[in-house]
Amino acid sequence: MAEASVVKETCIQAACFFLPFFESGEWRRKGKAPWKVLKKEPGITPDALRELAAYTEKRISRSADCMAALLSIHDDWQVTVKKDGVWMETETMIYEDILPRLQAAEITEDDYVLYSEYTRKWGML
Amino acid sequence: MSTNNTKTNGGGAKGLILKEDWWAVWIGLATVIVGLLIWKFGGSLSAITVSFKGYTNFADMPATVAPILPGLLLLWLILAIVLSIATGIMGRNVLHFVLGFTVLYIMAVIVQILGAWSWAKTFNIETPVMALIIGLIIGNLVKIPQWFEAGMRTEFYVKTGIVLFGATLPFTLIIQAGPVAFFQASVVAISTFVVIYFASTKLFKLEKPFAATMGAGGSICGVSASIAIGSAVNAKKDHVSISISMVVIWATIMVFLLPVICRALGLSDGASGALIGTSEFADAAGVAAASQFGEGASRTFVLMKVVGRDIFVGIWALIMAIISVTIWERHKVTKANAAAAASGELPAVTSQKPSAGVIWERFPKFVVGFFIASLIVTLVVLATGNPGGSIDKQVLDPVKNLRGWAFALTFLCIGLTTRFKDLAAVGWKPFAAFTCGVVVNVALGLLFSVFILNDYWTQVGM
Repeated sequence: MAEASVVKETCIQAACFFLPFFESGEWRRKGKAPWKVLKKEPGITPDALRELAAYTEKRISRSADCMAALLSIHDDWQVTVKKDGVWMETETMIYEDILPRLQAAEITEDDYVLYSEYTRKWGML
Repeated sequence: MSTNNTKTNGGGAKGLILKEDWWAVWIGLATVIVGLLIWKFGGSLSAITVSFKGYTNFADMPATVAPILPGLLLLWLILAIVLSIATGIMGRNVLHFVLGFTVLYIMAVIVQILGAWSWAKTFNIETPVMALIIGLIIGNLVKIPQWFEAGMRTEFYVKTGIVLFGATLPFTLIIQAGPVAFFQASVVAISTFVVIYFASTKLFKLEKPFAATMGAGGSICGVSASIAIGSAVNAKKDHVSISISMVVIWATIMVFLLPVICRALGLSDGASGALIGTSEFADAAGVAAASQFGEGASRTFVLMKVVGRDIFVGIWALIMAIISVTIWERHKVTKANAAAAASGELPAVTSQKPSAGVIWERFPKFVVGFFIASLIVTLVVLATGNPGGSIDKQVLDPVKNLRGWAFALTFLCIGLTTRFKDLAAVGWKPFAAFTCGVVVNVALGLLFSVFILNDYWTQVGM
């Protein structure tokens, strides 16, 4: 873990990283993701499918890179695979310590979605 | 690793058996339903309840307590079994829980015995205050062992108590008084949130997610709101920790201060409960403050806090998540990512667009149990006509007694878990910003409860 905080902890943080299969962060900010566009296209073509295949390969490959980076940063992850991506979650390292290392590993904010879930420390009012 | 409230575990159907909120609902509703079934077959839940008779001379105490010892043992056994099952399924250490719970139960018995002494009543040191004071002294002077900590489940006890409270409130009263409570609570909560948020961001230049987390803690439902909003806006851990500390510090002060204000102003029980429900920061602390008055104060407190404020948290979490994603984070992503990388700050992160599902995800589930308990009892009363008031005597009185036990455990836990040295180092800026909200909160609470709606809450509390 990084340097000890001066703040006494009154909560537990679960840092949850979602590594998507179908769309990167840029598509959550701009327009529709390629998968969503394709589903709504009236006349689908083989080339459009090939483009999607190339995009999907790149996207999942980036998720794999992100997963590898997270595993190299910390070894206590609960990994869950769902139909639209991989969830990696830990309660033993806070996201404030993880993000700079992801950045150093050239993982961009488009490659993951961060959720932080807090729970009160046991017995806390 | 415990992941009860996180994204990959404990969500969906699993949450029904893994989350404390839902266990409070199951235990509370099961108690009410079992009570009604026993009544239907001519019995009463009172067979497992224990009450403490008042006494004047301390020398008379042993003779008062001796006859109820078997009942105390039976109640301990039932509570220990039920709560241990819940604890085990939630993935906690059952042995530690049983040991901790047993010590807590013995303390609750002692506190209630002392609270029944007329000498204590003379000085207004009844069970809630005595439990708080004893808990605070022990918690702050003695190192509490880990196994004892396992029994201190403040929120679990208070949520179960609130579900039981629902059974004793007619659903018609909730429907009638709920909108008034919601209106009063909303005006005060929104004002308090705005004051804390703008004091934090404009006066003290604190980060917006931090300000929102503190604002929610000071306005909606204390620690639960800080956690819900802190999660919704991806606040930093230190900031959520500080927000929780702020809530605990002020909630503990208010447990003692608000009853003093109510007595000084000569408020009725109903108005006192409404003020405490509006201006206290945490459910458990509010129950402790309202319990220092009569049943009417507890009733208006629950209406104000649970119906008026707690149900707000899901909607507030959704609003803050939308603001976080559409304004704060987009701003960070589009303008500051490169600069942040150069300066060594945290990179901006992308969030999913929040959906309305957040409302349910963050909704305090025990409130559902509160409403259902009220609805069940109200329907049974309407269907049967409550012959000879037998439901009151054989079902609701025992439920009130068990609720009292849940709250007695809560009061002790508040004291035992509020360790001031663990709350230190919050910094003067967050403290000042939060305190601005406290001042506005109490002032508006007084305005509504003492002047604008005094007669209304007095009547509801009668």
